[in-house]
Amino acid sequence: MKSRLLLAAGCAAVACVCAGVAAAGSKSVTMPADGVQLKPSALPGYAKAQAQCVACHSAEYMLYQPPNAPRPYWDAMVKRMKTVFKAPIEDADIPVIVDYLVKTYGNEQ
Amino acid sequence: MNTHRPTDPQRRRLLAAGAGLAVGAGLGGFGRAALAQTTTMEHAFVNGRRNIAVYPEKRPLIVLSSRPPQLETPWEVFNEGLITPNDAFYVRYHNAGIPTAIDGDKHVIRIGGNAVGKPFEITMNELRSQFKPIEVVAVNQCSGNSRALFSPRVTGGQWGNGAMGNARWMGVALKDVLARAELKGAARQVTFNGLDDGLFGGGDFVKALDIQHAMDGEVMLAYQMNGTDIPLLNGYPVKLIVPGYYATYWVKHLSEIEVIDTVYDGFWMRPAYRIPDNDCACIEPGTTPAATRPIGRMNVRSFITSLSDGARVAAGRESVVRGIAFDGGQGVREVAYSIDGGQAWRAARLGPELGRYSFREFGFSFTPELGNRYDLRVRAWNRSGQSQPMEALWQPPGYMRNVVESVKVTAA
Repeated sequence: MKSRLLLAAGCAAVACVCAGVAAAGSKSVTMPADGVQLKPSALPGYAKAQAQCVACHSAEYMLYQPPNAPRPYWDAMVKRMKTVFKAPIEDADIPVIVDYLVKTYGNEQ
Repeated sequence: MNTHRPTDPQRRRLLAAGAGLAVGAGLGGFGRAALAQTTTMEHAFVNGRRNIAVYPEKRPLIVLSSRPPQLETPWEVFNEGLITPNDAFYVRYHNAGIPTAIDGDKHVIRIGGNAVGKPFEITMNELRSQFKPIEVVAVNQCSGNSRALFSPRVTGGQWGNGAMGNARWMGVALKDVLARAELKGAARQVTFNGLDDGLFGGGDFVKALDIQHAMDGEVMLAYQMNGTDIPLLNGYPVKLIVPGYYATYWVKHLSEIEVIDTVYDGFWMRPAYRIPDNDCACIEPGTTPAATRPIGRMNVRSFITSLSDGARVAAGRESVVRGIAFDGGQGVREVAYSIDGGQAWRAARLGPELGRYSFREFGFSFTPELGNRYDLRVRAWNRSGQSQPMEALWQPPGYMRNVVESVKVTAA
């Protein structure tokens, strides 16, 4: 097939490949700190979001959503974090967190 | 192709300021601790202000999210060559538990599943030495590339157009590796898992391909990208390459392959990464699809790369416009251009083909007249006759945008 450039088969090519990559060894990286933080708020969900949401992911996930994102979106996301990703969020905290999110980042700003 | 000449003034400022201080850390010396810095850019959509930051093995990129890292390639990179340099290649993770130290020599891939007669493990060294290497130049594009340009807007990762890249991948055919596993007749799908994990044990990023697709000889386990190790954030030491398919299937840090006798329905196959199950993969805004299917092959796209919207062009002399086109693997047959918003079309010149899965360059020239405005549009066709819609299609998850884009310029 034209699109796939098959390398010259055989030992020579393989050995060459091995020689080329053998030095690769290991990689170790240090990740930079979060570039943004949650927006402070007097709403009770702010502290809970700081404890629960940004434990796993940085605040760009909220900050960059389109400002028309409605309450059902934020509700679905918080519930997804609990049910799919097993985030240890108390059921009673869900509406509190959602209220902070939609009023801070969504269409109830 | 890996050398990069900083032509972007924003980048020059960044480098001059020493924004990304490299601090050799760890085994490979790739560690970097970025200084706090406030360089930003602004996308051309509402709420489009983004930080620009330096991540390990990367030049300054547009930060969609810090943790896990999701980094967008600055648009000017696509005008600098058909191959996207490794340090400019976009990054997209789904879970925060990403591996930050990987010993490429000790890494193994476990091959098993209930439709395998002989489960086994394979080391990177065995992968490199015991199979015939193959190579392909292929576009890797996020399903949600350009999501922020949907109208009406949709939620999710708000990418501009830079969640894509084109690289030369080298590795071995998945088919050759699976041949050792003694597949059973009941084999239906193959699942792929990598070293990245959710922090609380849920939502592990696992993807699946049908067995016929997995065994087509093109799906590849790649250990090199553009002639060198894959950057850690792009999947070091081995990444699944699924030419022509959206990047959601290109699993990073590949560590587990299972051949199964069922259709895998983990979260990232259902309900995530699904599209309306109809010909256009689209629905009326605000409605719900009657049925969905997993996202698959990429549609046709084309972009002008040498001019950005709102640019000024020199009046009275020939202006050369360049761009890129690609599709899901048929290959680009034709690119047409219009300078009047889509009224009249002419054929653009096509550059050489680097393979059916690659970006293909096109170009055209026109002579702008003083004071005139030009609405430049380009539209590509692949070898199956598929093309791009003149009006954007819509779907709830914001995947597969491929409308004919408009670049308005003024002659001065």
